[in-house]
Amino acid sequence: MMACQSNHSTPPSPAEMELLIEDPEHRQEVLSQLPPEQRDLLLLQLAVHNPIVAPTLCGEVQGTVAKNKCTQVIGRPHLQLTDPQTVDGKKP
Amino acid sequence: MIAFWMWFGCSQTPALQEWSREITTLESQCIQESIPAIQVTCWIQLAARYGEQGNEHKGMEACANLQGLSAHFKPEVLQTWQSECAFRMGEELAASGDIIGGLRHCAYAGPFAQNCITHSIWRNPVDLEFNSDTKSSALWKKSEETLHAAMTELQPLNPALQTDAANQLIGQMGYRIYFGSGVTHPEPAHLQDKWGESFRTAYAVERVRLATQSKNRWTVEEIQNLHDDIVNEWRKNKIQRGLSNENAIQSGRTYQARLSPFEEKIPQQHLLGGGRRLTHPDPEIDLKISILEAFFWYPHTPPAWFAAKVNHPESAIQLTAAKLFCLSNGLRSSTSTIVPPKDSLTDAIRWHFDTCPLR
Repeated sequence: MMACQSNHSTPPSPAEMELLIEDPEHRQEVLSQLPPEQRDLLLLQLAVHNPIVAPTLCGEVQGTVAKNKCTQVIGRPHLQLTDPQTVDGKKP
Repeated sequence: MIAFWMWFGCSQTPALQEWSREITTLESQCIQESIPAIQVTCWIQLAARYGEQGNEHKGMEACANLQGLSAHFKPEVLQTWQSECAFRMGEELAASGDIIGGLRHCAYAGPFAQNCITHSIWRNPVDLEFNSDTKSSALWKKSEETLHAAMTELQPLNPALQTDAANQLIGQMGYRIYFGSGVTHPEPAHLQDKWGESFRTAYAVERVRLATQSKNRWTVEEIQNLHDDIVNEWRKNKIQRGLSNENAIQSGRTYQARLSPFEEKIPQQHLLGGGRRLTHPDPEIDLKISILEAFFWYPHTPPAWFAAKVNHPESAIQLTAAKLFCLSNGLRSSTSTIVPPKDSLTDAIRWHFDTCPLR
C-alpha cells in the first residue's frame, strides 16, 4: 500500500525491461507473482520495448484485452525480423 | 529495481483497456494512456483507424505523437514502432482506395517497406470508377498515371524494392479493372504491352469466375470447351456479363510463387495471392497462359486437364501446365500416370515435378 502512495510508483524503465528480457528465468519468476491482468500488462510492455520478441511474448498473454492488442499491433509476425524483408529471397 | 516492484505490486497500477472502435473515443484513450509502451500501440492503432477512413492527415498526426515518447525508449525501438505506424497507416489507406497515399507511407516503413507495399497493392479494392467497359485507351492512360504516381512516392526506397513494387502494381492493375466486376469486355485484354498482359490475366480469371458460378463438377472435356469458348470470345471481342462479387478472391485458389531456375529469363507477372505467371509476346499465347492460371484459381478443375497441356507445342504453356498440375495435387492423384514418361520431359518441366511440394 505504501508503494501506491510513493513518488517512486512509475512504470519500469527501459533498462529494467531489458533485464527481464535478458533473463527469462527471472522474468518467469516476476510474472508468476503477478495477478493475471498485471502479468499481461508487463508482457505487453516487454514486447513493446523488444519488438523482435514481441510475437513470442504475445503468445504468453492470457486476457482478451491483451490478446486483442497483440493481434492489432504488438504481435504482428514481421516484427520478429531482424533484417529488412527481401525481394524473391534476395537482399534489396 | 525497487521502484519497478512497487509499481507492479501496487493495486492502483493502470488497468488494460479495450480500444474503442469509435475514433474520437480512441483518440481520447491514447491521450489519457499513462503507460508509454501501451500509448505507443494506441497511437499506431489510431493511425490505422484513420487510414481505414482514408484520413491521411489525421493518421500522420497520430504517428507523429510517437516522437513525443522518445524519452521512454531506446532510439532503435522507437524507430521500429514509427516504421510500424507508417506500415499500418499505409496499408489501411490503400485498402480504403487510396493506393498512392498508401504507398507514400510505405516508403517510410523502414524494414517493413516490402510487406507494406505488398499489402497496400493487393488490398487495394476493385476500381468502382473504371471497368472493362471503359475505353482501352482510357484504361491504359489511367494505368500509366497510377504507376507513375506510385513510383514517384516510392523514390526514397532502394531500386530493387521500387522495381518489385512496379511489377506488383502492374500485375494488380488488371484485377482492379476486371476481377469481381461482373464485366468481361475483352478489348483491354488485346493491348500489346505490360498492361495488356495484366488485363489478360484478370480477364481470364473473371471470365472463368462468371462461367463457373452455377456448377461445381467439370469434366476435362467441359473445361477444354470452356477454354476454347473464352479464346473465341476474346478473338471476336464478345462481351460477357454476370453477377459482380466484391469478395471474388475468396471463391478460388491462389499459390506462392514457384521460381524455377529454368525460367529466370522468361518475363513473368505477379498474380493475386503471391504467384507469378509466365508471359508471352504473342497476345493469344499470353491469353492461353492466363486461362490456364484462371483454371487453377477455379478450384474444381480436374488436374488431368493441366496434365494434357504439358504436351502443348508452346514451351511457356508446357511450363505453366506442369507448374499447375503440381499445385493442383496432380502428382498425388491417379492422374499422375497421364504425365509423359520422365525421360521424355525437358529439364525445365522436370524441375516442376521433382521439386513439387505436393508429391
